Amino acid sequence: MSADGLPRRVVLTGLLVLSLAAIAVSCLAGSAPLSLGETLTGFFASGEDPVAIIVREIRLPRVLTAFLVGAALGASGALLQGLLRNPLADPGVLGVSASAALGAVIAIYFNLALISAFVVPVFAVGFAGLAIIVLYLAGAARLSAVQLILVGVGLSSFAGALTALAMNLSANPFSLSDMVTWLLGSVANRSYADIAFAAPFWIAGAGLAVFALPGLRALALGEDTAVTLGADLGRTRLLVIASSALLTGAAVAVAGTIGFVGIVAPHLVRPLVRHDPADLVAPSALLAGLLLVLADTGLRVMPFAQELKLGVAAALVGAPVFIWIAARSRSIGR
Amino acid sequence: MSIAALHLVSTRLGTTLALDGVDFSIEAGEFVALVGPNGAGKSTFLKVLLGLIEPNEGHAELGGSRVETIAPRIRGRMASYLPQSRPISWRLDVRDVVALGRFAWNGAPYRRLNEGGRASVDSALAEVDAAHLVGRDMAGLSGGEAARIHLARLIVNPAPLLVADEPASALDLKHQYEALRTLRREADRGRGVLAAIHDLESARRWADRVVVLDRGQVRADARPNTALSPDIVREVFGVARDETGHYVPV
Repeated sequence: MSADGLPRRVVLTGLLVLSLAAIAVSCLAGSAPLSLGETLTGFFASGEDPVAIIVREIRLPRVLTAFLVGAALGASGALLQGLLRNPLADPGVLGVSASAALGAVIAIYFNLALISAFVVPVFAVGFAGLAIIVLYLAGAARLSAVQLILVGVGLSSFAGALTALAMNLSANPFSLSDMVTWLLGSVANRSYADIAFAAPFWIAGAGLAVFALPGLRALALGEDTAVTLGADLGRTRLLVIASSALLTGAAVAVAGTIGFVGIVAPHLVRPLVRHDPADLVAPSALLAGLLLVLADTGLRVMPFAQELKLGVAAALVGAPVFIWIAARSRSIGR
Repeated sequence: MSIAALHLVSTRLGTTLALDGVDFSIEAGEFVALVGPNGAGKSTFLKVLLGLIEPNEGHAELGGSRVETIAPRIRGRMASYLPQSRPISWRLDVRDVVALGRFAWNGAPYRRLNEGGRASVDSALAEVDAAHLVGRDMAGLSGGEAARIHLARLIVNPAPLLVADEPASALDLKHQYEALRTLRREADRGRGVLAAIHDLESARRWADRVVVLDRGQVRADARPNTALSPDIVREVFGVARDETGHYVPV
């Protein structure tokens, strides 16, 4: 890739077109064999048509969920990387997703979800926010890339242990199977209602992210210099913490924990945007959404008796890439 | 009128008194060198002046206002700062790093600056003899090359005050000379320049005024030859000139 990168508009338009194409193609895949023509008709047929129901009510919501969850995690990863000045930051790796899952599990275990379906995303977002604050208080921005990952591993294990504790205490086997789903993320059988519950949080998170971006650019030169350049560091911190908590929390509330996409997408996008930490965020969101749509499509066409969970597939692909980036990151000056 | 000042500033860092009752002010068009042995409090002095460290006693002023009351973006237009440690987190292009110097005016990468902004970035790079580094990323530069990019980033900010912590360290002799000449030129163009400098002879040569800091206190604040008199140099730095003119420990 040329060192010049590409104009921002070209990157965004290109990724948007590819994403829409992937979403459309993904609607062709599934256990019911539908041809291209049938799928297209399904989009526009009347509501009673069985093909229309499969395409519009089963496949499309699932594909859209995969895209939006991926986009939320990709943006969240890029934001955290900018704030912590660390290419290995990612909501999954740092334990933010695991903490969000803990919040969701607690909401379900204590039957709080019966009050309102919004309780689950609210708890997930709240716990994600707590996790990011804990990371920040642990001095995450001053730690080396590797130290930060170790803190994240600790936080992740802690949240995982508390989740397991909640599962042990659960008397209800139905909620136990629910909880397993939180730990191995999936977008199977999601409906428009699931998207609707997460949407307000995602919209708020994306809105806040916009205001955090300039500060991330200044932070590339370290905190002291960023302040003297004219960045409002306190505000940038608060915006990134709130925005990535909203994005990650709502994503986990809808799909459970799906790791690594928040680290792989920004890594691939960075050369296209001249490594600018602010320009990185939007294309990372699009690419991460695209990657999850492709991964989920792959799961649906694979001939396994039981469908693999999306979180498992993301880790199978993402973890080796993560290790590769980690091994190379020593050369990135800190 | 002074463009920046410290009023009876004392600062404790942990248990040590890093600054002890420091009074200071700098005018437009003045090049002030801040010298002192390791640990004398030079970096703390600069950070308090910029509002990066809140003093335990006294206060700092920029442009007549107390520094902690100035909004971040406005403060970024009043003073430009080159810290001693200069981390770079991403493989940024040289011109994008320099463009960050204009963050408080139009925080954008080089390619999205207006024509005037781009021209000022390019001329700052030419000023520090780094025009040939355009298109390189910071991770691939030598220490001295990177230091010059940071110097360009410092001066591309049109702020009335430039604050530099050891701008000449990590540079070879030619570029040391050029870095200090660049700061001198900025002072001659009417900006205030405050630079912590290790080399006493460079301070003597380029500055209008030298502030000698010793264990947190201002030991001298005068024209270079007065502030760097043999007595003061011997007392503060523990060195004196031998018969060949070199400084040696006494």
